[in-house]
Amino acid sequence: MQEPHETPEARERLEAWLDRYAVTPRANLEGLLSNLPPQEAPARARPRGGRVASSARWGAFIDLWRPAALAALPVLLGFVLSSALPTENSDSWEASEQWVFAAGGEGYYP
Amino acid sequence: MYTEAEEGQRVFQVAQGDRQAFAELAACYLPKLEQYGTRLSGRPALGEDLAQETLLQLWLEARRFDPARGRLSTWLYRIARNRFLDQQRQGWRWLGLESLEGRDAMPDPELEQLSDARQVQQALQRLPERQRSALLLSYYEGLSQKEVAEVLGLGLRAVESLIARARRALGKTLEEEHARTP
Repeated sequence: MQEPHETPEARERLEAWLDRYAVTPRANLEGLLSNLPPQEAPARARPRGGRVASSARWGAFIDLWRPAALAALPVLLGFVLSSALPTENSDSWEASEQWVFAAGGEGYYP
Repeated sequence: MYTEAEEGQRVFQVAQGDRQAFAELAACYLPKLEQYGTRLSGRPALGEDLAQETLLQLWLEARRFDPARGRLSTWLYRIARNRFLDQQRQGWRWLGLESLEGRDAMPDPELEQLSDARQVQQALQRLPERQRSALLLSYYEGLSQKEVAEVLGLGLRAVESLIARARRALGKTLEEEHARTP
């Protein structure tokens, strides 16, 4: 809905009234500064601090295990490949016993 | 007055426990917050309390201030307004004029304007809180409509409308008061 327009005279009168309502600040800055409580960051952050400590522990744990996991990776990879690839005495993967058996190669065994 | 970058830097220092940085910000904002609180509540003593509590919150929770989300002034005015609303919800009954009534012994310049000030104060207190806040922040505190919208958590159009309605209602009330008084 369109707001009715404020005439310049009405605006001037209103602002003259508003200007008469002066507020003299009295608050005591020195009092405020001298009574500042300690910031107590650790106390306020205690619930979150628990999580922080916990995540720090996990971080250290992961940092320790990351090189170990990297070192173990080739060994694991070798193990997986050696068990999955065809064994000796076979010309190809498709011709291996495992493949035919897995494919339901009936009649393979006499 | 500080630039946004200077303010952000000082708030960061306050979050690190720097009392000097806090003192500088407090010196700048204490009078502004007190004026806003006084006009919002209609009571100087409460305005003073609101200003002190707001700055105390700045001291304790400066790390929560995010300069990317707005200026320090809008953050502080929002805190002050929220505290005022909390106190109202908790059952404060604003006595409104008691503080001005007790100022008969004030020096002459203030006494001269007392009657007008009282009329404006009464008229402001009759406005709904949102209209009152929007008008106070834009007229007395010099905030832009965008900044008022940030403080009140409203859209720009809503703020424009609030300010226009507040001005109209206030003008009407004051005209009537003026016509009634000899």
